[in-house]
Amino acid sequence: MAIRNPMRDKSCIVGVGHSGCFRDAGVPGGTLVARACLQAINDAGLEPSDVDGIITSPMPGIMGYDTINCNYLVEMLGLPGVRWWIDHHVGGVPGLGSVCMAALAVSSGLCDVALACRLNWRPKDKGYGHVMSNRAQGVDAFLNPYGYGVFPQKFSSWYMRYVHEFGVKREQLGTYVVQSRKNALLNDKPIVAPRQAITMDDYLNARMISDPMNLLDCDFPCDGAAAVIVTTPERAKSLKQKPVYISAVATGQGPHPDFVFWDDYTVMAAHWAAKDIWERAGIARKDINFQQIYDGFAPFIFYWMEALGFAKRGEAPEFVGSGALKPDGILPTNLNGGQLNEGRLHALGHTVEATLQLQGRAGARQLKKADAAVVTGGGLSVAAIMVLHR
Amino acid sequence: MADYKKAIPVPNDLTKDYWEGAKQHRLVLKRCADCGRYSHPPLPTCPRCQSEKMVATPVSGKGTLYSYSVMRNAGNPGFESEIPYAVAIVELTEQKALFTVSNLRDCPLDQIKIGMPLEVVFEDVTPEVTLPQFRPARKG
Repeated sequence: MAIRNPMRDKSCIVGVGHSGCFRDAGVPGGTLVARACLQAINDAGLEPSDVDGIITSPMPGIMGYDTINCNYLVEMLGLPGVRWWIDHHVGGVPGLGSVCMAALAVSSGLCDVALACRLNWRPKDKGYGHVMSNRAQGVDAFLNPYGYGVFPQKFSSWYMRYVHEFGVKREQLGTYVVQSRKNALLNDKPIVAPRQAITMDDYLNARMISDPMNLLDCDFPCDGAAAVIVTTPERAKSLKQKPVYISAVATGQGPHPDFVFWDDYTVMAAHWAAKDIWERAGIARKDINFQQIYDGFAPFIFYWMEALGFAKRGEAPEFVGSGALKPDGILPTNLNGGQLNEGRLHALGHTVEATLQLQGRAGARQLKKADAAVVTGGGLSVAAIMVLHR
Repeated sequence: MADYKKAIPVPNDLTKDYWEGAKQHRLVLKRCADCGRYSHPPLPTCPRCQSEKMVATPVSGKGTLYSYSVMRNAGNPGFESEIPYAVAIVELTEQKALFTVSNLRDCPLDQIKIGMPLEVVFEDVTPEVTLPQFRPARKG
């Protein structure tokens, strides 16, 4: 069947906002997300009353705060004109999924100015993502009684199989991790990682969390929020920033709700999402100048490189280990330091960085050539992709 | 059991055969009566042929280690004192990619090898609950 993508270049990002990421921001989550949203509206040269679409992935009420959803945001930000809203779980990727849905809503005419935002809020009274109940129901009944209820644990056993099949050297992943921290040191927003370079020795000696993943392979849970404004190319002409066009979006999911029970641990939801992304985007892989790739766990980089076709199956470790992803390599990656260093905003931080680079506003991090980029979110059980150009 | 701090499986309509079987020290999975495909965790409809005839069926309890991880961090109630401990993804012999999860018994952490043959053992953790576990397969 012919590839059909009527939404190609029919929407664009025209404003970004970012609260910065903190271990403890010291303010309610609602405050952070309001700051990011108002910053994005202002960055575009718009007023809250111009926003007629809002998309977010609700952040559950934690520590006594209310659930941050569209309704909450409409009230708090004072958005009188909203006629299209979605509280979603699109692609299950809370951050980038919202931008994908904003592109869909704008390109189809459901709204003209869409606000897509993501809040992450770290609970302060318990471990992030820890198992809280000792009554394991549904699929969890087959996992939690074995001390296997925490996401990094499950992903570690996944990645162990990849390491087994393709013979990954730890230095290969370390090359990305060390570089991503170096990139983060140029990030002018508050980041969660310590502002301190790490060496390969630091990486190789980092404390194991669950074999074969160590502490430096994992991103930081954080308090933070980011937002983008998506509108039509026509509307963008009268706005403050250069538009960044959305060529294609895609989502993917795997064969079973819990990835532990998938039949092949070397293929992620990323592979389904990426299936025909370049044809849909109308942009060739070779014309991508840089990428913002989801790195909630560092090994995701390997899977994404194979899913997107930048490396053949099983060859991503060699590709990444060669230094290809450095800012002066053939495929500069995660120039803001990625989620591994900036903080866990579920690829909305990635989107903000891609936009700034494509607009030439990335300051000390600015690439010489930034015409087209790919942004990815999630990747394991659910995934989202967006191809952007200036 | 007030002193058992780890998570306890709560059976439901789909999983009660599995947990009842475990109590009797048998590994019992759902299998499609029409096409013969096993589904674990249990589904009400066969994902291969969409038949609704899913029948509780005892399996051999033999398998191989598909993957694993050694857990060195907290996060699961009751496991704090067991760190480091291994979790195994066991591929059962009955069907390709028929996976079940357990801890690894009678196997030092440095002797775990992907592909090693495993067999089920049963642990009565409370008077009501038995957990299937796996250990390296013994000869014979």
